[in-house]
Formats: sequence, structure tokens, C-alpha cells
Amino acid sequence: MKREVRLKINGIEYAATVPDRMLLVQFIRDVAGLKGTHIGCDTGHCGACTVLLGDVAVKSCLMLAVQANGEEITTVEGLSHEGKLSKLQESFRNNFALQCGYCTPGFLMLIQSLALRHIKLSENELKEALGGNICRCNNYPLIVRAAMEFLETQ
Amino acid sequence: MPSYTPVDFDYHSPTSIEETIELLSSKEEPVILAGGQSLMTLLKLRILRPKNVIDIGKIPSLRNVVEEEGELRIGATATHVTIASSPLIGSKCGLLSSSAKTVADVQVRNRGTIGGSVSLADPSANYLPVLAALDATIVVQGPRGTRKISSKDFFIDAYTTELAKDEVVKEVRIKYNKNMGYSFKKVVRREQEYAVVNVAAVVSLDEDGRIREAKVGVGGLSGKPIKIRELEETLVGKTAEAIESAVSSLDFKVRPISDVRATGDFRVYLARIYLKRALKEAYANARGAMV
Repeated sequence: MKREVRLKINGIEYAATVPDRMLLVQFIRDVAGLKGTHIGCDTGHCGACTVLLGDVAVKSCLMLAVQANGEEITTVEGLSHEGKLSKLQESFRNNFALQCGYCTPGFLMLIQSLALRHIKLSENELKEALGGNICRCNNYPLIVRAAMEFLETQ
Repeated sequence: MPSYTPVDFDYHSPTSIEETIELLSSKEEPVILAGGQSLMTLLKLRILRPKNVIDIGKIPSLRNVVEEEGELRIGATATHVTIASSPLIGSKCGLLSSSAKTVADVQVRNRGTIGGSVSLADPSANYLPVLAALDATIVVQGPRGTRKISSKDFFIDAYTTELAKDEVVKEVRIKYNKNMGYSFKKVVRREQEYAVVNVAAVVSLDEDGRIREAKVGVGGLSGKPIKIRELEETLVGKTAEAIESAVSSLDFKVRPISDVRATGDFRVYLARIYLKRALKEAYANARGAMV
């Protein structure tokens, strides 16, 4: 069956009639055309598709678009403003926290969700929190450094 | 659409449990969607090919966590993060909170639910040994009314439960004595992986520091979680020194799972080690609570 799904992504309303089985990540990429949210493993392990649903980090490949109907979503495109990178993104750039960059949007959104919770995390707690995101370039030390540097300014 | 997409189905989002049961009975080949953190993968890999998906995530009353008649009542769609951070569960049943804290990863804990975990009955799920140890009750509802099933009877084998096709898990109920020390331990090859074996232990002590009551559950060893009554009985009246030998001489009386993650023998070996650690930690916690 098909139905109309309305999502507010990065403050902009998107409405489309889509099949019930369409995944949230497919809506974001193929309907809204926001290709920053990546599909990595497609089985819920890698975290590359992480977006914010409200202010909660979720894997958009493990959700149907219709489940998020009427909700507000933030994707990696929502972090920067008028071409200016956010502090988190700047911190990633300064620390060279990416190599190929494929996993980066997922890491950014997860760390953004941690910042929204306003809880002070130790480095070990941060590492535990990053467990749902995989970086196959193995750039973890620099990602952790960038995240710690950013979270300390929050 | 790209390859990993579920088969075509109709989506329903009932707003009450009665409507859910009505849909379950009237719709062809239905499946219940709670948090979807396991189900979506099963759908995408087309291991499940339902004609109808019934999303119970939009029923507010199913998310409640309350204390009634001296027991904790946790709604089926309470998420792992809710369970891990609920002050009520934390103060009444720290064992359950502590097991919820290490379910998968942050994103999955944000969406995954206890009802989903219980219904799926993955042998390596965190909650299973906890529910077995505490003799939790699973409340299910269907067209023939409500049934309260003890976890001993609810879990039958790996991915197999007492839940009928037209029933839905409504609530998990736990009776708990808060003056107990507890410990949950999970053996994983890497963080966030499925557990090879996980154990739950709860201990309460008398005034002399002897064990008054012990509750022990093991998951991942066999298809269903097991409560080890023999060990629980052996430990009564003893102190921490008895743990080592009681666990060493224990016969688990199950045929252990042997798979890519661990052989059966290795699982038994791990279960013994982690049972000892968990019991000692639970004992130490109970002592700490006495002081």
C-alpha cells in the first residue's frame, strides 16, 4: 500500500506518497534528495545512516518512513548553516577525524545527539557511546579526539 | 528501490491494544512491529515476508513503567534507554537497568523495546537471563483475553515462545526485593556484538552475612534462558567462599548451543567463570547494602 508521508527534515517540510515498506533512509536520500545520510551495511550495524529523530539518534535504515510520519528529522545537512560548518564539523576537520568520510555523517549525528543531552562524558563513556558507529578506515582515535574537543566546549 | 527493502506490505498503526488484537485476527499474515531494531533487519533480509505490519509503537499506554501491587510493570514498548534510565526501575530493580544499559548500541537502545526483545527470544538477548532469574511474568493479550505466563513457560527455545499468533506481549512484570545485591555480566567478542553467554545473579543476605536467597539466570547457553535452582538452593546459608566450588561442580543439564560465536564446551566454560564473577559481585553488593 502507498500513503502520504510528511516529514520535516532540517526545518523543511517534505511530503510524498510512498510505499509503506519504504525505509526512512530511502525517503531522506531518494525523496528529499539529501544524500549526506549514507547507507553502509543496511542491516543496522554500521551507523552510517544515523539521523536525529527529534533530538534522539536513530538508525534510519531500521525505521520505516511512515513510522516517522509528522516527525522532525535532522540530517548531516542540517548541521551547517549558510555554508558555514558547525563547531562539531570544524572539530572533525581540525583533528583530521575522517579519511574516506563515508561513516562521518553517522558519527556527526551521533555526537550531535550526545551534545543535545548535556551530559558530561568521560573518554571511555564516549567510546562506549560511539560503539554503534563503524569506521572502516579505523580512524577512531582521531574521531574520539575531535568529539571530546567538541563536547568539552558544550 | 535498492536491494535491501522489505517485501510489499500494508502498514497499520493502531492506537489501542484492542485495535491491535482486532488487526492481528483480521489481517492476513501479520507481524507486530515494536521498536523494529531486530524486525526491520528480518524484513529487509526477507527472512520474514508479512502481508501486514502492525506498529504498536503509537500506543501510549504500552510505554508505561509503573509500580503496582508491589511489582514493577513495564509496558511492552518501553525502550531500552527508558529502562536503563528510569529512576523507578533503577531503585527497585537495578539488575534490569544494568542489563538494559548494555543492549546493542545507543541508537538501538533509543528505539528497541523490552516487548520486542522478549517476543523475539533471541538466546543472546540481555533481558532473558534477568527475567529467568527473577521469575518474571510476561503478560500477553489476545482475542481469548489476557494470559500471565511465567518466564519459565514463556521461553520455549531459540526464537520460540508461548505467544500465540493472534496475541501480543503487553507487559513484563517483575517482583523484586530491593535489599538485594545484583550483577549482570555479558560475554562478548567485541562491544555491541551479540552475547556469547550472559548471566544474571541476585543475592540477599541475613544479619550474619549468610546468603538468605540467591537467584541465578543464564542466557545464551541453550536456546532458552535457564534459572539454576540447584545452585540457588546450594548457596542458601553459605557465604561468598561457597560460590567457587558450588559453581565448579554445577551440572547445567542443557545441551549448549554450538555456533560461529562459540562451541558448546566453551559456552559452558564461560558460563562457569561469569557465574562465579557475577555471584561474587552480587554478594559484595549485598554486603555493601547491609552496611
